[in-house]
Amino acid sequence: MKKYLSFFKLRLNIALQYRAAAIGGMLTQFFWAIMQILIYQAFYKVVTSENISLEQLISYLWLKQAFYTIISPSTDVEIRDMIEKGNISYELCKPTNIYWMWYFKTLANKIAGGFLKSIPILVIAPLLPAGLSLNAPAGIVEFILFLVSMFFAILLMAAIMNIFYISLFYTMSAKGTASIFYALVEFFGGTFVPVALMPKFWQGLCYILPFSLAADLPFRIYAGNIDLKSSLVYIVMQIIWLLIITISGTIITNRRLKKVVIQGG
Amino acid sequence: MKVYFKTILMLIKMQLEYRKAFIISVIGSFLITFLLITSVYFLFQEFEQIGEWTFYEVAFLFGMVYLNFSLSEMFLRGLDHFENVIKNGEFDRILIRPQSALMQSTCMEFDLSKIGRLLQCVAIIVIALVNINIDWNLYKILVFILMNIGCFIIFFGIFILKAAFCFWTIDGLEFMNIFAEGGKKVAQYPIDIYAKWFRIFFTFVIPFGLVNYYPVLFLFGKADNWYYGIIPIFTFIFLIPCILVWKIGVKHYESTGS
Repeated sequence: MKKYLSFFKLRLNIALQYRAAAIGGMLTQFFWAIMQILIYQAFYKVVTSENISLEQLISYLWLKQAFYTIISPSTDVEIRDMIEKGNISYELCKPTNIYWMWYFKTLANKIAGGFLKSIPILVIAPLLPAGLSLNAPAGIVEFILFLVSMFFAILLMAAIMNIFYISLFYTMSAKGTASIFYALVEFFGGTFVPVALMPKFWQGLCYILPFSLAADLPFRIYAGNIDLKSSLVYIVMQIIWLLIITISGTIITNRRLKKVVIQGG
Repeated sequence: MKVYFKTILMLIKMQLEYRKAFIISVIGSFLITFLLITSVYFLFQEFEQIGEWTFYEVAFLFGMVYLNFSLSEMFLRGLDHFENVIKNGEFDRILIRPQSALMQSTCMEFDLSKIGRLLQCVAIIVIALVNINIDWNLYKILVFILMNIGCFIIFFGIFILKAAFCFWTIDGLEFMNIFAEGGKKVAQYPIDIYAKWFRIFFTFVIPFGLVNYYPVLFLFGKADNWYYGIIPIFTFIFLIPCILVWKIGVKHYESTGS
């Protein structure tokens, strides 16, 4: 365990160095959030949705932007190159389990980049004029549940990303596979359109699949869009999915590594 | 121009060599667009309309914007990834060839995998137009073509700007994505739904309003002013400052790499 932790620390430090990029990213985040809020304000002007109020939706959109790095399916170029260009042979020489190595690498990148990026929004967005601002959580219990579900969401998203890296062994096309993965995670995770605004059938489907549990659920809990009892059920589902994906991930990796073909020369 | 098409042809042949990777890329970009338009459909299921606009009208704008964005990504890929050219010093090679630097940089790369998205956008436009009541005449067809040209020109300008900034920053800026990716997203909806300050920015600075609002009003018969139809021509003015920035950038260029 110790070697994984020190590896985690190392990646954390590297990711924190890109401060200038973080500032550019911050402006981008504010732009995206405000643009989306403007669009939904226009929609709500005519009809109000019964599933989620505009105030709840605005909080949801801000939080989603704030934690976008954590919940988005952005892929690690180093790992992609490892598989496509053959550097994986070095990785295989190390006395570590490759699955957990990649898992903690993804986790560190997401946490370092993600929390740094969330701070400006969490500080500035609540101060914006009413109708545009990030509201306080719906209640103390909701806030605690939000933190709990966020914790599992991060672990779950890192596990989902690991499935992506493993699938590269089969497809050998990082760019194409990444775009398929991106489409599925973003759609079912409620980034294209918030899950709360989807038709009933699709909402149900979204909450069976792991993507929205990782990328949508915590923010709906925060906004008070899900009652406490269902929140608990969904958090249990997060844990179940986390176990399913991690265990199947390790098994597939170990099996596949026995017959891996090194690419490149 | 002849050189441009010859280069593009070579790049297409190159990509078709890796068939499996190519097919997966096509499926990927097809899926993204499909799920994006489905999302827009979901929103209209929930709300029925946005401002005065219905689903098919917005779908038409979506199709037009994504069509021209895909065309830009396909034909202007070199500008999109210009930081790579700067970083490894390849721009030195470009400068010594007897062709315009902008033209060469543009055709450094060509991304054929966007073809799936392209056809899809055409399909979306056709489906949308069938479902909207338009009194077609020759002038309106011309307006439709002008709108698409205008839209492409705006993306062309943004891509040039994005590439030109690499002369100063060496690396690509995530910030510049606001104009390309953000503009694409903004222009999906007619700009009259946004707040005033936002509308002004996207009409006078990045002129999406000139292609996705005024001509659309005329095309859909929401306004009778015929001159709304020729407004997309003014997007060419947007190219002037963009090319100027590029020219200044080239002068400013100091070689990197080894």
